[in-house]
Amino acid sequence: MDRLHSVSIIPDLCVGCTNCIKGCPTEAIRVRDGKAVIDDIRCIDCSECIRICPYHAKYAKTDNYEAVFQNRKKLKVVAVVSPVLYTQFARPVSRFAVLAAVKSLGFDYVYEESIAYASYLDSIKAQILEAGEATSHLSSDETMDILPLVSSTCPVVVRLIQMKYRTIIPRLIQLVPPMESVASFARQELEADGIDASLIRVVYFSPCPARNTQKAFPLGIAKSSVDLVISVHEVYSRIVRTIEDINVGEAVGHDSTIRCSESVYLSCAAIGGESESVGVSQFLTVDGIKNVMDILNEIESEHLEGISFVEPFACFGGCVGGPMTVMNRFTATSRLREIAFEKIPESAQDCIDQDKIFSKKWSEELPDNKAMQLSDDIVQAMSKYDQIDQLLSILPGLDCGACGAPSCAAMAEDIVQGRADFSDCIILRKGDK
Amino acid sequence: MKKSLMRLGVSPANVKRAAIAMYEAEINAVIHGGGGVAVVSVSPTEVKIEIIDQGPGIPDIDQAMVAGFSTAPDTAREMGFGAGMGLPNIKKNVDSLNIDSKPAVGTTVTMTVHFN
Repeated sequence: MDRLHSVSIIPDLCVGCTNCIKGCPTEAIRVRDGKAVIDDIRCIDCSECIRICPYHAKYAKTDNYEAVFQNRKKLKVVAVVSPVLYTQFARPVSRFAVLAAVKSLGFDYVYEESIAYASYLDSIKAQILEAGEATSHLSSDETMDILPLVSSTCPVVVRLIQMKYRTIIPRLIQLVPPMESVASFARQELEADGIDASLIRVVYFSPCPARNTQKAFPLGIAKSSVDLVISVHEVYSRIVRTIEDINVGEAVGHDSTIRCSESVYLSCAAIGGESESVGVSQFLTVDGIKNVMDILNEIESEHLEGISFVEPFACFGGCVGGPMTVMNRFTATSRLREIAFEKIPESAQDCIDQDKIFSKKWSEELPDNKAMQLSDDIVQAMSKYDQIDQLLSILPGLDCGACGAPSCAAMAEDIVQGRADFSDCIILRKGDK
Repeated sequence: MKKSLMRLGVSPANVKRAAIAMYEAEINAVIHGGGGVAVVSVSPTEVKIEIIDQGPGIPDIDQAMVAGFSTAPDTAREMGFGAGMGLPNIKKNVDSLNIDSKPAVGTTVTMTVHFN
């Protein structure tokens, strides 16, 4: 079976404490033989388990930094930089110093992810306005059939919807994510310059593991344009020592290999940035995976009245709260606000280049994720459902987690699906004596 | 119910129809019937939802079906309910709807959603 996630376990550090199984929003973790195991289909890379684990036995798997320049020869290596990277550095380290430092690591080209945002936000706005138009003659109940639309920027949220909230799929704003737009734009530009496609390597600096998974299993597009994903903290650790020595003016002045956006688009790396930049008045922002689930439930039940646009992020604070960062999200958010208002220095004006990149709609439908379904056959599913019901009346209902499942209900399902055994319940075993 | 139907592999569109209808009927039972009982039965081809209350009954069912007609008290309206859209919204979402109501005995709303 394909591995659809990048959140991983270090078995040597895992003590089987069951903290993680309780915090997992898709019940994707079980403790088996004293070690946590992640279900490949259910895990959506939300990283709750990374945050919860007291033993640091969970981590976000990415590519190795060594792979970036491996077998380089004639390769052109392109960095696509998430704005979150800038927020890891305190004043006075400017965004342009960071870009220059990235170049000095050996990258041939540096593209800011934010160059995709001008067109991305325009497209979001157009879709909201179109939906608003379509509902203008409808009652408020009927309007809730269509609105709110939901941002697809956070890949964890898209995968959550794909698995547990499939009625919301039509409300997703189905646009190619900025990371992919920029990666494919960079490829086009380089190929237009006569560089052979096989000689281009695109590396994305990511705040979250879900974008690493997106590289191998893209959502809404057939194939990713990104070759490697490296974490923001990895890049941070490689430039932090040299960065203060960089003379920004010299470093990025009239550098034709750096592509930048206007400062304002950087704000989309924190929650609310997207909504405020889109400029619709009736928006709702929600962060934290559990809160996101509450709001998705509201949307699904059509109780969210008077809202046109929902901006959900699995991480608290948005992408600045991603697990592959160094700086806490509060400091990072504060820094982001500052950077998003920064005047671009004269010497870097030439690098501003965001008008040639256009947002595209998804070319592929979101495949079904049937992880929550008991069986493909409804008769069989109903029989399993009955068996689960019967088991639930026997299991103690304490949800203690000692069997390795997060709840007695999850345990009952595991037994029926042949993934666990009755004897794993220590409460029942105790009663036997 | 929503989660159960999803686990059985019922399509999202049908789950949504059943969930909205059930919610509206529950609200009616709470506002007008003083609460009640919900009975959900699933077969491989359909889900049947019965909402049974022992309230005052509906004097004129045809009138109750008209969008915007409401007898909900102010206390319900203050909470955002009682817009007179409940029964019309149910009718829109289900494949069959039967309302059995007797004055002072109660109301049973029976709704079915077919799966294909």
